[in-house]
Amino acid sequence: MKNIFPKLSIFIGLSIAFAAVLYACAGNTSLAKKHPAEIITALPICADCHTDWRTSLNHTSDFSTRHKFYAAQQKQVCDLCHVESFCADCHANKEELKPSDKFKTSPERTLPHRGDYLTQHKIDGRINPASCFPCHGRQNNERCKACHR
Amino acid sequence: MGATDMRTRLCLFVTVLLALLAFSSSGAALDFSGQSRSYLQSRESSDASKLMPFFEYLDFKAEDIGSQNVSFHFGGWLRYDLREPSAADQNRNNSDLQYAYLRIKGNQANAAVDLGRVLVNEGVASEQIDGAYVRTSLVAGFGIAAFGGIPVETTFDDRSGDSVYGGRISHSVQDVYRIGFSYLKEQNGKELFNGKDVSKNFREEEGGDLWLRPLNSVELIGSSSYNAITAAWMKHAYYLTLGPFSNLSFRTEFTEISYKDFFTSATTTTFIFDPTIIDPKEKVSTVGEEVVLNLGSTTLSADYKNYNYKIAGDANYYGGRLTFATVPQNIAAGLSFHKMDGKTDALRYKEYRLYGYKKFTTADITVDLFAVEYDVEINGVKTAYSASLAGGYALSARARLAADIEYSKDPFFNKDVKGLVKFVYNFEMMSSAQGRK
Repeated sequence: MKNIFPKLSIFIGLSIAFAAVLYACAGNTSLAKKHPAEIITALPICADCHTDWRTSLNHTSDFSTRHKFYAAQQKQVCDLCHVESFCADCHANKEELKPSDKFKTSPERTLPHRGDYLTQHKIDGRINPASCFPCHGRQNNERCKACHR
Repeated sequence: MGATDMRTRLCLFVTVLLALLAFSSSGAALDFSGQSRSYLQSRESSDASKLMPFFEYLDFKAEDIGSQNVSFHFGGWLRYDLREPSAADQNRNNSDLQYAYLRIKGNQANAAVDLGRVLVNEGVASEQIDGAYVRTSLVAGFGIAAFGGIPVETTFDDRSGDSVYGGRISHSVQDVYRIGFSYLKEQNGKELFNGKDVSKNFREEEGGDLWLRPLNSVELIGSSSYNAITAAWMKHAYYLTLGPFSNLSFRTEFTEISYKDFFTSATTTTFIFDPTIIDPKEKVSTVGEEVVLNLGSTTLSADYKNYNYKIAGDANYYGGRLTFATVPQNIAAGLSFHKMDGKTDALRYKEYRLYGYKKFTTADITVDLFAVEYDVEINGVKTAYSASLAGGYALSARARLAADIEYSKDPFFNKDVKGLVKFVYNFEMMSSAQGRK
Protein backbone atom coordinates (compact mmCIF):
# COMPACT_ATOMS: atom_id res chain seq x y z
CA MET A 1 0.00 0.00 0.00
CA LYS A 2 1.26 3.44 -0.91
CA ASN A 3 2.37 5.49 2.10
CA ILE A 4 -0.08 8.40 2.32
CA PHE A 5 1.31 9.73 5.63
CA PRO A 6 3.36 12.64 4.15
CA LYS A 7 0.43 13.88 2.05
CA LEU A 8 -1.97 13.48 4.97
CA SER A 9 0.38 15.41 7.27
CA ILE A 10 0.65 18.25 4.74
CA PHE A 11 -3.14 18.31 4.31
CA ILE A 12 -3.76 18.41 8.08
CA GLY A 13 -1.05 21.03 8.60
CA LEU A 14 -2.46 23.28 5.87
CA SER A 15 -6.00 22.83 7.22
CA ILE A 16 -4.91 23.87 10.71
CA ALA A 17 -2.99 26.86 9.33
CA PHE A 18 -6.01 27.89 7.23
CA ALA A 19 -8.34 27.58 10.24
CA ALA A 20 -5.88 29.62 12.35
CA VAL A 21 -5.93 32.44 9.79
CA LEU A 22 -9.75 32.40 9.66
CA TYR A 23 -9.87 32.41 13.47
CA ALA A 24 -7.41 35.33 13.63
CA CYS A 25 -9.56 37.26 11.18
CA ALA A 26 -12.84 36.40 12.92
CA GLY A 27 -12.52 39.16 15.47
CA ASN A 28 -15.93 38.47 16.98
CA THR A 29 -16.33 38.35 20.74
CA SER A 30 -17.14 35.18 22.62
CA LEU A 31 -20.34 34.54 24.50
CA ALA A 32 -20.40 35.61 28.14
CA LYS A 33 -19.18 33.10 30.69
CA LYS A 34 -22.54 33.04 32.42
CA HIS A 35 -26.00 34.36 31.68
CA PRO A 36 -25.91 37.90 33.11
CA ALA A 37 -29.27 37.62 34.83
CA GLU A 38 -30.06 34.81 37.22
CA ILE A 39 -32.85 32.61 35.89
CA ILE A 40 -35.41 32.27 38.67
CA THR A 41 -38.16 30.33 36.95
CA ALA A 42 -38.14 26.57 36.92
CA LEU A 43 -38.72 26.39 33.16
CA PRO A 44 -37.39 29.66 31.72
CA ILE A 45 -39.12 31.39 28.83
CA CYS A 46 -36.36 33.30 27.03
CA ALA A 47 -38.99 35.30 25.11
CA ASP A 48 -39.87 37.06 28.36
CA CYS A 49 -36.73 39.19 27.81
CA HIS A 50 -35.52 38.47 24.24
CA THR A 51 -37.14 38.94 20.85
CA ASP A 52 -34.43 37.50 18.58
CA TRP A 53 -33.13 33.93 17.90
CA ARG A 54 -32.94 33.29 21.63
CA THR A 55 -36.73 32.97 21.82
CA SER A 56 -36.35 29.55 20.19
CA LEU A 57 -34.68 28.39 23.42
CA ASN A 58 -37.92 28.81 25.42
CA HIS A 59 -38.08 25.82 27.74
CA THR A 60 -41.63 24.91 26.79
CA SER A 61 -43.14 21.48 27.46
CA ASP A 62 -41.71 20.05 24.22
CA PHE A 63 -38.21 21.48 24.72
CA SER A 64 -36.89 18.22 26.14
CA THR A 65 -37.67 16.57 22.78
CA ARG A 66 -35.86 19.26 20.78
CA HIS A 67 -33.00 20.20 23.13
CA LYS A 68 -30.60 17.76 21.44
CA PHE A 69 -30.67 19.80 18.23
CA TYR A 70 -29.74 23.04 19.98
CA ALA A 71 -26.98 21.26 21.91
CA ALA A 72 -25.63 19.71 18.69
CA GLN A 73 -25.38 23.14 17.07
CA GLN A 74 -24.23 25.44 19.88
CA LYS A 75 -23.79 23.84 23.26
CA GLN A 76 -21.91 26.92 24.46
CA VAL A 77 -25.32 28.62 24.73
CA CYS A 78 -26.54 25.85 27.06
CA ASP A 79 -23.40 26.39 29.15
CA LEU A 80 -24.48 29.95 29.93
CA CYS A 81 -27.01 28.60 32.45
CA HIS A 82 -26.24 24.89 32.92
CA VAL A 83 -23.18 23.32 34.50
CA GLU A 84 -21.92 20.09 32.94
CA SER A 85 -23.46 17.92 35.66
CA PHE A 86 -26.91 19.02 34.47
CA CYS A 87 -26.28 17.12 31.21
CA ALA A 88 -24.46 14.25 32.95
CA ASP A 89 -27.46 13.52 35.17
CA CYS A 90 -29.09 11.87 32.15
CA HIS A 91 -26.36 11.57 29.50
CA ALA A 92 -23.85 9.28 31.11
CA ASN A 93 -21.71 6.30 30.34
CA LYS A 94 -23.11 4.55 33.39
CA GLU A 95 -26.11 5.56 35.45
CA GLU A 96 -27.91 3.58 38.11
CA LEU A 97 -30.42 6.12 39.44
CA LYS A 98 -33.28 7.09 37.16
CA PRO A 99 -33.40 10.86 36.52
CA SER A 100 -37.04 10.85 37.66
CA ASP A 101 -35.91 9.35 41.00
CA LYS A 102 -33.18 11.97 41.44
CA PHE A 103 -35.59 14.84 40.95
CA LYS A 104 -38.85 13.79 42.56
CA THR A 105 -39.45 17.37 43.72
CA SER A 106 -39.39 18.69 40.15
CA PRO A 107 -42.55 17.15 38.70
CA GLU A 108 -42.80 19.81 35.98
CA ARG A 109 -39.62 18.52 34.30
CA THR A 110 -39.98 16.08 31.44
CA LEU A 111 -37.83 13.25 32.75
CA PRO A 112 -37.66 9.79 31.24
CA HIS A 113 -38.86 6.58 32.87
CA ARG A 114 -41.40 7.89 35.38
CA GLY A 115 -43.49 5.37 37.26
CA ASP A 116 -43.29 1.66 36.49
CA TYR A 117 -40.78 1.62 33.68
CA LEU A 118 -40.03 -2.10 33.81
CA THR A 119 -43.35 -2.82 32.12
CA GLN A 120 -43.38 0.34 30.03
CA HIS A 121 -39.90 -0.20 28.55
CA LYS A 122 -41.16 -3.26 26.70
CA ILE A 123 -43.94 -1.18 25.21
CA ASP A 124 -41.75 1.82 24.37
CA GLY A 125 -39.12 -0.53 22.95
CA ARG A 126 -41.63 -1.89 20.46
CA ILE A 127 -43.11 1.50 19.59
CA ASN A 128 -39.76 3.07 18.79
CA PRO A 129 -36.54 1.32 19.88
CA ALA A 130 -34.61 4.20 18.29
CA SER A 131 -35.74 6.36 21.19
CA CYS A 132 -33.84 4.03 23.60
CA PHE A 133 -30.70 3.87 21.46
CA PRO A 134 -29.09 7.32 21.99
CA CYS A 135 -28.79 6.70 25.76
CA HIS A 136 -28.54 2.89 25.88
CA GLY A 137 -27.21 1.79 22.50
CA ARG A 138 -23.49 2.18 23.04
CA GLN A 139 -23.34 3.13 26.72
CA ASN A 140 -25.36 2.98 29.89
CA ASN A 141 -26.61 -0.51 29.05
CA GLU A 142 -25.08 -2.69 31.75
CA ARG A 143 -28.51 -3.21 33.28
CA CYS A 144 -29.97 -4.20 29.90
CA LYS A 145 -27.61 -7.16 29.82
CA ALA A 146 -29.12 -8.62 32.99
CA CYS A 147 -32.09 -9.78 30.88
CA HIS A 148 -31.11 -9.14 27.24
CA ARG A 149 -28.32 -11.68 26.84
CA MET B 1 -15.89 -2.30 37.93
CA GLY B 2 -13.11 -3.82 39.95
CA ALA B 3 -12.05 -2.44 43.31
CA THR B 4 -8.57 -1.70 41.90
CA ASP B 5 -10.02 0.43 39.11
CA MET B 6 -12.19 2.26 41.60
CA ARG B 7 -9.22 2.95 43.89
CA THR B 8 -7.23 4.23 40.91
CA ARG B 9 -9.99 6.68 40.02
CA LEU B 10 -10.35 7.77 43.64
CA CYS B 11 -6.57 8.38 43.86
CA LEU B 12 -6.69 10.35 40.61
CA PHE B 13 -9.58 12.45 41.87
CA VAL B 14 -7.91 13.17 45.23
CA THR B 15 -4.65 14.06 43.45
CA VAL B 16 -6.42 16.54 41.16
CA LEU B 17 -8.34 18.02 44.09
CA LEU B 18 -5.19 18.46 46.18
CA ALA B 19 -3.34 19.98 43.22
CA LEU B 20 -6.10 22.53 42.71
CA LEU B 21 -6.25 23.36 46.42
CA ALA B 22 -2.46 23.71 46.52
CA PHE B 23 -2.65 25.99 43.50
CA SER B 24 -5.35 28.01 45.23
CA SER B 25 -3.35 28.37 48.46
CA SER B 26 -0.30 29.51 46.49
CA GLY B 27 -1.96 32.87 46.05
CA ALA B 28 -3.00 32.47 42.43
CA ALA B 29 -6.59 33.40 41.55
CA LEU B 30 -8.89 30.39 41.61
CA ASP B 31 -12.67 30.16 41.83
CA PHE B 32 -13.86 26.78 43.01
CA SER B 33 -17.53 25.75 43.12
CA GLY B 34 -19.51 22.56 43.04
CA GLN B 35 -22.15 20.35 44.49
CA SER B 36 -22.28 17.19 46.54
CA ARG B 37 -25.41 15.06 46.33
CA SER B 38 -25.90 12.04 48.56
CA TYR B 39 -28.75 9.59 47.94
CA LEU B 40 -29.82 6.70 50.14
CA GLN B 41 -32.38 4.52 48.42
CA SER B 42 -34.42 1.69 49.87
CA ARG B 43 -36.11 -0.75 47.51
CA GLU B 44 -36.76 -4.39 46.75
CA SER B 45 -35.50 -6.30 43.72
CA SER B 46 -37.60 -8.61 41.56
CA ASP B 47 -36.27 -11.59 43.57
CA ALA B 48 -37.37 -9.92 46.85
CA SER B 49 -33.82 -8.98 47.94
CA LYS B 50 -33.76 -5.94 50.22
CA LEU B 51 -31.59 -3.26 48.65
CA MET B 52 -30.18 -0.10 50.16
CA PRO B 53 -27.67 1.52 47.80
CA PHE B 54 -25.92 4.71 48.87
CA PHE B 55 -24.83 7.08 46.09
CA GLU B 56 -22.49 10.02 46.29
CA TYR B 57 -22.49 12.36 43.31
CA LEU B 58 -19.80 15.02 43.26
CA ASP B 59 -19.26 17.72 40.68
CA PHE B 60 -17.13 20.81 40.74
CA LYS B 61 -15.41 23.32 38.52
CA ALA B 62 -12.26 25.30 39.19
CA GLU B 63 -12.10 28.48 37.16
CA ASP B 64 -9.45 31.10 36.57
CA ILE B 65 -6.60 28.63 37.08
CA GLY B 66 -3.77 31.06 36.62
CA SER B 67 -5.66 32.63 33.71
CA GLN B 68 -9.30 33.60 33.26
CA ASN B 69 -9.35 31.34 30.22
CA VAL B 70 -8.42 28.11 31.99
CA SER B 71 -10.83 25.95 33.97
CA PHE B 72 -11.16 22.36 35.18
CA HIS B 73 -14.48 20.48 35.34
CA PHE B 74 -15.19 17.27 37.20
CA GLY B 75 -18.25 15.04 37.73
CA GLY B 76 -18.57 11.51 39.02
CA TRP B 77 -20.35 9.18 41.41
CA LEU B 78 -19.75 6.28 43.75
CA ARG B 79 -22.23 3.66 44.93
CA TYR B 80 -21.98 1.38 47.93
CA ASP B 81 -24.63 -1.17 48.89
CA LEU B 82 -25.52 -1.15 52.59
CA ARG B 83 -27.64 -4.30 52.27
CA GLU B 84 -27.84 -6.86 49.44
CA PRO B 85 -25.86 -6.16 46.20
CA SER B 86 -28.03 -4.03 43.91
CA ALA B 87 -26.26 -4.77 40.61
CA ALA B 88 -26.50 -7.88 38.48
CA ASP B 89 -22.74 -8.46 38.79
CA GLN B 90 -23.14 -8.76 42.60
CA ASN B 91 -20.51 -6.08 43.24
CA ARG B 92 -21.33 -4.04 46.31
CA ASN B 93 -19.77 -0.92 44.86
CA ASN B 94 -19.60 0.85 41.55
CA SER B 95 -18.53 4.23 40.27
CA ASP B 96 -18.37 6.35 37.15
CA LEU B 97 -16.21 9.21 36.07
CA GLN B 98 -18.81 11.23 34.17
CA TYR B 99 -16.48 13.98 33.00
CA ALA B 100 -13.10 15.43 33.92
CA TYR B 101 -11.54 17.89 31.55
CA LEU B 102 -9.34 20.92 31.35
CA ARG B 103 -10.85 23.73 29.28
CA ILE B 104 -8.71 26.40 27.67
CA LYS B 105 -10.70 29.18 26.03
CA GLY B 106 -9.51 31.70 23.49
CA ASN B 107 -10.07 35.40 23.92
CA GLN B 108 -12.46 35.61 20.98
CA ALA B 109 -14.73 33.68 18.63
CA ASN B 110 -15.90 31.15 21.25
CA ALA B 111 -12.67 29.25 20.71
CA ALA B 112 -12.10 26.47 23.22
CA VAL B 113 -10.09 23.29 23.71
CA ASP B 114 -11.27 20.57 26.11
CA LEU B 115 -8.79 17.90 27.15
CA GLY B 116 -9.81 14.85 29.14
CA ARG B 117 -13.12 13.00 29.51
CA VAL B 118 -15.57 15.23 27.74
CA LEU B 119 -19.06 15.09 26.26
CA VAL B 120 -18.99 16.14 22.60
CA ASN B 121 -22.14 17.48 20.95
CA GLU B 122 -21.44 18.28 17.30
CA GLY B 123 -24.01 17.31 14.68
CA VAL B 124 -24.10 13.51 14.41
CA ALA B 125 -21.75 13.23 17.38
CA SER B 126 -23.16 13.04 20.87
CA GLU B 127 -20.26 11.19 22.40
CA GLN B 128 -18.33 10.87 25.62
CA ILE B 129 -14.66 10.58 24.76
CA ASP B 130 -11.31 10.46 26.50
CA GLY B 131 -9.46 12.83 24.22
CA ALA B 132 -9.51 16.33 22.79
CA TYR B 133 -12.35 18.54 21.57
CA VAL B 134 -11.57 21.79 19.74
CA ARG B 135 -13.97 24.36 18.28
CA THR B 136 -14.10 27.97 17.18
CA SER B 137 -16.07 30.45 15.15
CA LEU B 138 -14.39 31.70 11.98
CA VAL B 139 -14.92 34.64 9.65
CA ALA B 140 -18.22 35.40 7.90
CA GLY B 141 -20.40 33.21 10.10
CA PHE B 142 -18.48 29.99 9.62
CA GLY B 143 -17.59 27.67 12.46
CA ILE B 144 -15.49 24.56 12.83
CA ALA B 145 -15.12 21.81 15.43
CA ALA B 146 -13.02 18.66 15.65
CA PHE B 147 -12.61 15.90 18.21
CA GLY B 148 -10.73 12.68 18.66
CA GLY B 149 -9.92 10.11 21.29
CA ILE B 150 -11.10 6.87 22.82
CA PRO B 151 -14.88 6.37 23.04
CA VAL B 152 -16.33 6.00 26.53
CA GLU B 153 -18.81 3.19 26.02
CA THR B 154 -19.91 -0.08 27.48
CA THR B 155 -17.11 -2.36 26.45
CA PHE B 156 -17.74 -5.78 24.98
CA ASP B 157 -14.01 -6.48 24.91
CA ASP B 158 -11.65 -3.80 26.20
CA ARG B 159 -10.69 -0.29 25.10
CA SER B 160 -7.46 -1.36 23.44
CA GLY B 161 -7.44 -0.24 19.80
CA ASP B 162 -10.71 1.69 20.09
CA SER B 163 -10.83 5.17 18.60
CA VAL B 164 -13.31 7.82 17.55
CA TYR B 165 -12.82 11.05 15.66
CA GLY B 166 -14.83 13.53 13.67
CA GLY B 167 -15.82 17.10 13.22
CA ARG B 168 -18.38 19.60 12.07
CA ILE B 169 -18.31 22.65 9.85
CA SER B 170 -21.14 25.14 10.06
CA HIS B 171 -22.42 28.40 8.75
CA SER B 172 -24.91 30.75 10.33
CA VAL B 173 -26.63 34.05 9.80
CA GLN B 174 -27.80 35.21 13.20
CA ASP B 175 -31.59 35.21 13.58
CA VAL B 176 -32.06 33.47 10.21
CA TYR B 177 -30.34 30.09 10.00
CA ARG B 178 -27.61 27.76 11.16
CA ILE B 179 -26.58 24.83 9.02
CA GLY B 180 -23.94 22.23 9.79
CA PHE B 181 -22.32 19.19 8.22
CA SER B 182 -20.66 16.64 10.44
CA TYR B 183 -18.71 13.41 10.24
CA LEU B 184 -17.82 10.71 12.74
CA LYS B 185 -15.77 7.54 12.48
CA GLU B 186 -15.36 4.98 15.23
CA GLN B 187 -13.12 1.95 15.15
CA ASN B 188 -13.06 -0.94 17.54
CA GLY B 189 -10.02 -2.97 18.44
CA LYS B 190 -11.96 -6.20 18.58
CA GLU B 191 -12.55 -8.06 15.36
CA LEU B 192 -15.80 -9.80 16.18
CA PHE B 193 -18.96 -8.60 17.91
CA ASN B 194 -21.99 -10.84 17.65
CA GLY B 195 -20.29 -12.75 14.82
CA LYS B 196 -19.56 -9.60 12.78
CA ASP B 197 -16.11 -8.20 12.01
CA VAL B 198 -16.14 -4.68 13.47
CA SER B 199 -12.41 -4.06 13.58
CA LYS B 200 -12.36 -1.46 10.78
CA ASN B 201 -15.93 -0.41 10.13
CA PHE B 202 -17.67 -0.31 13.48
CA ARG B 203 -19.29 3.05 12.84
CA GLU B 204 -19.09 5.79 10.22
CA GLU B 205 -21.73 8.48 10.11
CA GLU B 206 -22.31 11.69 8.21
CA GLY B 207 -25.01 14.20 8.81
CA GLY B 208 -26.56 17.57 8.32
CA ASP B 209 -28.26 19.76 10.89
CA LEU B 210 -30.45 22.78 10.34
CA TRP B 211 -32.05 25.61 12.30
CA LEU B 212 -34.11 27.97 10.21
CA ARG B 213 -36.08 30.98 11.40
CA PRO B 214 -37.25 32.91 8.35
CA LEU B 215 -39.87 34.80 10.35
CA ASN B 216 -40.25 35.52 14.07
CA SER B 217 -43.09 33.05 14.36
CA VAL B 218 -41.69 30.27 12.17
CA GLU B 219 -38.91 27.95 13.26
CA LEU B 220 -37.65 24.71 11.76
CA ILE B 221 -35.02 22.59 13.50
CA GLY B 222 -33.78 19.10 12.83
CA SER B 223 -31.13 16.83 11.42
CA SER B 224 -30.51 13.94 9.05
CA SER B 225 -27.90 11.24 9.62
CA TYR B 226 -26.41 8.89 7.07
CA ASN B 227 -24.75 5.53 7.68
CA ALA B 228 -21.65 5.48 5.45
CA ILE B 229 -21.13 1.76 6.05
CA THR B 230 -24.58 0.61 4.93
CA ALA B 231 -24.75 3.55 2.47
CA ALA B 232 -28.26 4.55 3.53
CA TRP B 233 -30.03 7.18 5.61
CA MET B 234 -30.36 6.25 9.28
CA LYS B 235 -32.70 8.92 10.50
CA HIS B 236 -34.42 12.17 9.62
CA ALA B 237 -35.94 14.23 12.44
CA TYR B 238 -37.44 17.70 11.97
CA TYR B 239 -39.60 19.94 14.15
CA LEU B 240 -41.57 22.95 12.93
CA THR B 241 -42.89 25.53 15.39
CA LEU B 242 -45.43 28.14 14.33
CA GLY B 243 -46.42 30.91 16.70
CA PRO B 244 -47.24 32.16 19.13
CA PHE B 245 -50.32 33.67 17.51
CA SER B 246 -52.37 35.26 20.30
CA ASN B 247 -51.00 32.73 22.82
CA LEU B 248 -51.57 29.83 20.43
CA SER B 249 -48.61 27.78 19.12
CA PHE B 250 -48.46 24.87 16.69
CA ARG B 251 -45.68 22.30 16.79
CA THR B 252 -45.28 19.73 14.04
CA GLU B 253 -42.76 16.89 14.06
CA PHE B 254 -41.61 14.44 11.45
CA THR B 255 -39.18 11.56 11.90
CA GLU B 256 -38.17 8.62 9.75
CA ILE B 257 -35.90 5.80 10.91
CA SER B 258 -34.53 2.78 9.08
CA TYR B 259 -33.79 0.07 11.68
CA LYS B 260 -31.22 -1.85 9.62
CA ASP B 261 -29.18 1.33 9.15
CA PHE B 262 -29.78 2.93 12.56
CA PHE B 263 -28.87 0.10 14.95
CA THR B 264 -25.57 -0.99 13.42
CA SER B 265 -23.19 0.19 16.15
CA ALA B 266 -24.69 -1.11 19.39
CA THR B 267 -22.44 -2.45 22.14
CA THR B 268 -25.20 -4.67 23.46
CA THR B 269 -27.21 -7.41 21.79
CA THR B 270 -30.38 -5.74 23.11
CA PHE B 271 -30.64 -3.89 19.80
CA ILE B 272 -30.14 -6.99 17.67
CA PHE B 273 -33.80 -7.76 17.15
CA ASP B 274 -35.61 -11.05 17.18
CA PRO B 275 -37.56 -11.00 13.87
CA THR B 276 -40.56 -12.60 15.58
CA ILE B 277 -40.87 -9.50 17.80
CA ILE B 278 -39.36 -6.60 15.79
CA ASP B 279 -38.42 -6.99 12.14
CA PRO B 280 -34.80 -5.76 11.77
CA LYS B 281 -35.74 -4.33 8.35
CA GLU B 282 -38.55 -2.24 9.79
CA LYS B 283 -38.90 1.41 8.82
CA VAL B 284 -40.91 3.74 11.01
CA SER B 285 -42.04 7.26 10.29
CA THR B 286 -43.85 9.48 12.74
CA VAL B 287 -45.87 12.61 12.15
CA GLY B 288 -47.07 14.56 15.14
CA GLU B 289 -48.87 17.77 15.94
CA GLU B 290 -49.24 19.64 19.22
CA VAL B 291 -51.42 22.69 19.71
CA VAL B 292 -50.55 24.75 22.77
CA LEU B 293 -52.63 27.50 24.33
CA ASN B 294 -50.63 29.59 26.78
CA LEU B 295 -52.72 31.65 29.21
CA GLY B 296 -50.01 33.00 31.49
CA SER B 297 -49.66 30.62 34.41
CA THR B 298 -51.94 28.09 32.76
CA THR B 299 -51.04 26.08 29.66
CA LEU B 300 -53.41 23.80 27.80
CA SER B 301 -52.20 21.50 25.04
CA ALA B 302 -53.50 18.75 22.80
CA ASP B 303 -51.19 16.42 20.88
CA TYR B 304 -51.38 13.66 18.32
CA LYS B 305 -48.68 11.41 16.90
CA ASN B 306 -48.98 8.75 14.22
CA TYR B 307 -46.46 5.91 14.06
CA ASN B 308 -46.39 4.42 10.61
CA TYR B 309 -44.55 1.10 10.42
CA LYS B 310 -43.70 -0.30 7.03
CA ILE B 311 -44.08 -3.86 8.31
CA ALA B 312 -45.98 -3.85 11.61
CA GLY B 313 -48.82 -1.43 10.79
CA ASP B 314 -49.88 1.83 12.41
CA ALA B 315 -50.28 3.18 15.92
CA ASN B 316 -51.71 6.47 17.10
CA TYR B 317 -50.81 8.29 20.32
CA TYR B 318 -52.93 11.24 21.34
CA GLY B 319 -54.09 13.16 24.36
CA GLY B 320 -53.95 16.43 26.25
CA ARG B 321 -52.24 18.21 29.08
CA LEU B 322 -53.18 21.01 31.46
CA THR B 323 -50.45 22.63 33.56
CA PHE B 324 -50.28 25.51 35.98
CA ALA B 325 -47.13 27.17 37.35
CA THR B 326 -46.50 30.47 39.06
CA VAL B 327 -43.34 32.53 38.48
CA PRO B 328 -41.24 32.02 40.51
CA GLN B 329 -42.45 28.51 40.95
CA ASN B 330 -44.17 28.44 44.32
CA ILE B 331 -47.11 26.44 43.08
CA ALA B 332 -47.21 24.00 40.16
CA ALA B 333 -49.78 21.45 39.07
CA GLY B 334 -50.40 19.28 36.07
CA LEU B 335 -52.94 16.86 34.66
CA SER B 336 -52.56 14.77 31.53
CA PHE B 337 -54.22 11.96 29.63
CA HIS B 338 -52.90 10.04 26.63
CA LYS B 339 -54.04 7.02 24.70
CA MET B 340 -51.95 4.69 22.56
CA ASP B 341 -54.07 3.02 19.95
CA GLY B 342 -52.08 0.40 18.02
CA LYS B 343 -52.76 -2.82 16.16
CA THR B 344 -51.13 -5.12 18.70
CA ASP B 345 -52.26 -5.73 22.30
CA ALA B 346 -49.05 -4.18 23.69
CA LEU B 347 -49.81 -0.97 21.83
CA ARG B 348 -53.25 -0.35 23.31
CA TYR B 349 -53.24 1.47 26.62
CA LYS B 350 -54.16 4.72 28.38
CA GLU B 351 -51.82 6.92 30.44
CA TYR B 352 -52.88 9.25 33.24
CA ARG B 353 -50.79 11.67 35.28
CA LEU B 354 -51.62 14.13 38.04
CA TYR B 355 -49.08 16.12 40.04
CA GLY B 356 -48.94 19.02 42.44
CA TYR B 357 -46.11 21.04 43.96
CA LYS B 358 -46.21 23.69 46.68
CA LYS B 359 -43.30 25.66 48.02
CA PHE B 360 -43.36 27.24 51.45
CA THR B 361 -40.65 29.54 52.83
CA THR B 362 -37.98 26.90 53.35
CA ALA B 363 -39.87 23.71 52.58
CA ASP B 364 -41.69 22.18 49.63
CA ILE B 365 -43.97 19.24 49.02
CA THR B 366 -44.72 17.26 45.84
CA VAL B 367 -47.42 14.71 45.07
CA ASP B 368 -47.21 12.73 41.83
CA LEU B 369 -49.63 10.08 40.56
CA PHE B 370 -48.99 8.08 37.39
CA ALA B 371 -51.13 5.28 35.98
CA VAL B 372 -51.25 3.11 32.86
CA GLU B 373 -54.37 1.15 31.99
CA TYR B 374 -53.75 -1.70 29.53
CA ASP B 375 -56.49 -2.81 27.17
CA VAL B 376 -55.31 -6.39 27.67
CA GLU B 377 -53.96 -7.52 31.06
CA ILE B 378 -50.23 -8.08 31.49
CA ASN B 379 -49.38 -10.77 34.06
CA GLY B 380 -52.97 -10.52 35.27
CA VAL B 381 -52.70 -6.78 35.93
CA LYS B 382 -54.99 -4.38 34.09
CA THR B 383 -53.75 -1.14 35.63
CA ALA B 384 -50.25 -0.21 36.74
CA TYR B 385 -49.85 2.81 38.94
CA SER B 386 -47.37 4.62 41.12
CA ALA B 387 -47.94 7.33 43.71
CA SER B 388 -45.14 9.32 45.24
CA LEU B 389 -44.95 11.87 48.03
CA ALA B 390 -41.82 13.98 48.28
CA GLY B 391 -40.73 16.76 50.57
CA GLY B 392 -37.73 19.04 50.75
CA TYR B 393 -36.34 21.38 53.38
CA ALA B 394 -33.65 24.05 52.96
CA LEU B 395 -31.35 23.63 55.96
CA SER B 396 -29.38 26.69 54.89
CA ALA B 397 -28.64 28.68 51.75
CA ARG B 398 -26.24 25.90 50.73
CA ALA B 399 -27.77 22.72 52.15
CA ARG B 400 -31.02 20.97 51.33
CA LEU B 401 -32.54 17.75 52.63
CA ALA B 402 -35.26 15.92 50.69
CA ALA B 403 -37.03 12.61 51.01
CA ASP B 404 -39.66 10.73 49.09
CA ILE B 405 -41.67 7.56 49.25
CA GLU B 406 -43.19 5.84 46.24
CA TYR B 407 -45.85 3.15 46.24
CA SER B 408 -46.53 1.25 43.05
CA LYS B 409 -48.32 -1.76 41.68
CA ASP B 410 -47.52 -3.12 38.23
CA PRO B 411 -47.32 -6.39 36.26
CA PHE B 412 -43.96 -7.25 37.85
CA PHE B 413 -44.26 -5.91 41.40
CA ASN B 414 -47.25 -6.39 43.66
CA LYS B 415 -47.26 -3.51 46.16
CA ASP B 416 -43.76 -2.17 45.69
CA VAL B 417 -42.58 0.51 48.12
CA LYS B 418 -39.44 2.57 47.49
CA GLY B 419 -37.93 5.31 49.58
CA LEU B 420 -35.16 7.79 48.97
CA VAL B 421 -33.38 10.35 51.14
CA LYS B 422 -31.31 13.04 49.43
CA PHE B 423 -28.88 15.56 50.86
CA VAL B 424 -27.51 18.32 48.64
CA TYR B 425 -24.69 20.64 49.58
CA ASN B 426 -23.41 23.46 47.37
CA PHE B 427 -19.90 24.72 48.00
CA GLU B 428 -17.69 27.44 46.62
CA MET B 429 -14.41 29.09 47.43
CA MET B 430 -13.74 32.44 45.83
CA SER B 431 -10.24 33.81 45.74
CA SER B 432 -11.35 36.93 43.86
CA ALA B 433 -12.63 39.73 46.08
CA GLN B 434 -15.86 40.19 44.14
CA GLY B 435 -16.84 36.56 44.20
CA ARG B 436 -18.76 34.69 41.52
CA LYS B 437 -21.06 36.50 39.16
